[in-house]
Amino acid sequence: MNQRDAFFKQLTRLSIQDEKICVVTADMSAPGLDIFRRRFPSRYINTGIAEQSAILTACGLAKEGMKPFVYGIMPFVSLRPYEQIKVVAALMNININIVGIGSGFSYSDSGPTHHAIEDFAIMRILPNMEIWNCADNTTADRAALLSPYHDGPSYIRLDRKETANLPGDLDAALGFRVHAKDDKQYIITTGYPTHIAINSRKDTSADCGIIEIFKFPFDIPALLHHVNHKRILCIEENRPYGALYSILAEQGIPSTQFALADQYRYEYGDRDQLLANHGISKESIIQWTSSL
Amino acid sequence: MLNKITLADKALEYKQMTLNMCCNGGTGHVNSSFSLAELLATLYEGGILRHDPKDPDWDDRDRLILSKGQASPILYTVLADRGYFPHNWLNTFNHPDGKFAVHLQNTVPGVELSTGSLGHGLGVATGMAISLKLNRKLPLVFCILGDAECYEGSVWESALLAAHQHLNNLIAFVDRNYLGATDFTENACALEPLEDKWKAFGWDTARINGHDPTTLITTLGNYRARLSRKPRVIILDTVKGNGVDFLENAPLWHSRTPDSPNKALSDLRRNHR
Repeated sequence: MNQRDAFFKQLTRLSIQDEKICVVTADMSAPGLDIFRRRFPSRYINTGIAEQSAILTACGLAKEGMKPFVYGIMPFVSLRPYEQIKVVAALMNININIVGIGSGFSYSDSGPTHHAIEDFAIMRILPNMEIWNCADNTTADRAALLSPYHDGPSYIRLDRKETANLPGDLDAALGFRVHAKDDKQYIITTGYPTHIAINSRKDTSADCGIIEIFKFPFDIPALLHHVNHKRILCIEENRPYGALYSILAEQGIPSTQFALADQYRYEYGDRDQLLANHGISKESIIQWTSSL
Repeated sequence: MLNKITLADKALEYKQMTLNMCCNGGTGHVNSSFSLAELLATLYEGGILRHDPKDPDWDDRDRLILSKGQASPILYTVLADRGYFPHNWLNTFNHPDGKFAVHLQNTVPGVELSTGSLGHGLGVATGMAISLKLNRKLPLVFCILGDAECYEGSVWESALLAAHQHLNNLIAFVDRNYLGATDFTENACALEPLEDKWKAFGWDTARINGHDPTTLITTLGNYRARLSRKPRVIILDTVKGNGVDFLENAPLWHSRTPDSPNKALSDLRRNHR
């Protein structure tokens, strides 16, 4: 099962008890969403490929007490209707939940139109907005369970491909989980690169802590408790500006950044290969952790 | 409820209050406000809109979305006049310690939605109308659009959806004053035939004189018991800056306010029949 089916499975379960939950899709489907659609046809609204309409309609539904989930391909459901999200949802703190499918290079066969590598930076600067950046099905499930009850808009980033479930508790108030601890150096990452970071530990004797941030904003003092005065590598599947590295820098946490190149490329194929082209790979991580 | 002649007087009063408020604040879209005076008088004083100034969030109220948020001055005037908030708030328009300024904000009692960036109101109105139907609630959703706002693609995305969802609880007004921010719409990028466009999108349509309360009331008719399943749009032929000779149809007055209200007030009185 992939993240979106895990997400909609939980949402459908939740919708049995909570009659206010509804889905506004910009003509995007998922097997898990089909189950919701069959079960709750009146609470399933397809706007067509019209993301501005989807966001605005959801805001109207939410103003009347519904708990809408807008669903679409990630860059199209965030960048395209960004002004609607800002002016209507964030400014008025309206409880809509925006679900994007295709974090980072998830659509590795589709090129830069479908890559979601800028959306995190622009969404996280909106006051009132919370972001769930899911690295596995467990996180997607938790996002479905909690986001309808968040006071304000939520943005949920789901990976397109299947991802292995990661260990560790998901404490939403904390916003991160610690996959490994170390006295000297840490990798801080979010989303899919967490898997690469964890896998890299199998092929090296170098010790390194790993922290995965899955929800933004997160508990900064708690993070500092782990990483203060330690060597830090920030790995993110985003463009280099405005995202995770910037968040750390804003909090006075210096780090080395592994991010995507500051240019658009028409590149296709295996996602891990694409990331390696941008310097994010098991090998590059081991090189960094071994260089202490 | 006021009769039809008194509604025209009330519209004049709104314009006078709006003008004084904007001149006092040194800003505000007077022209865009004036093309809506008779519509708002009819809705709020003509017994059309179900609302309760003492309970702005009353669950059974009709929802009114002013999507052309730059016309906020006249809505603030109407809301003060109906008792949603103290009249003296109008004296602090655009003041540092005031409650509001040029564009509409939903923190003001009686205002449903913050607007000012165009093209958002109809989509939100659509979502509200869907929700009211889903929850078997009877209130209507009214949405007031500017004609030049209809350049925004989001308006037409929402128009498609509203028709597809059979939202006969949604009534839109288009303030057809033929002026955008810098020029006449038909010079900039023609909107006509505007009524045909709405019709093609699946809406029931009407086109009337937007400055005549009698026609407005007649056209709205038995609007709560419409048999049609379609949403309805009423295109209001209006004059931007209506009633003030030097403001009427003057493109460059789009976002300006006269330094003094005197000349405009004198025009308003003279042109009022």
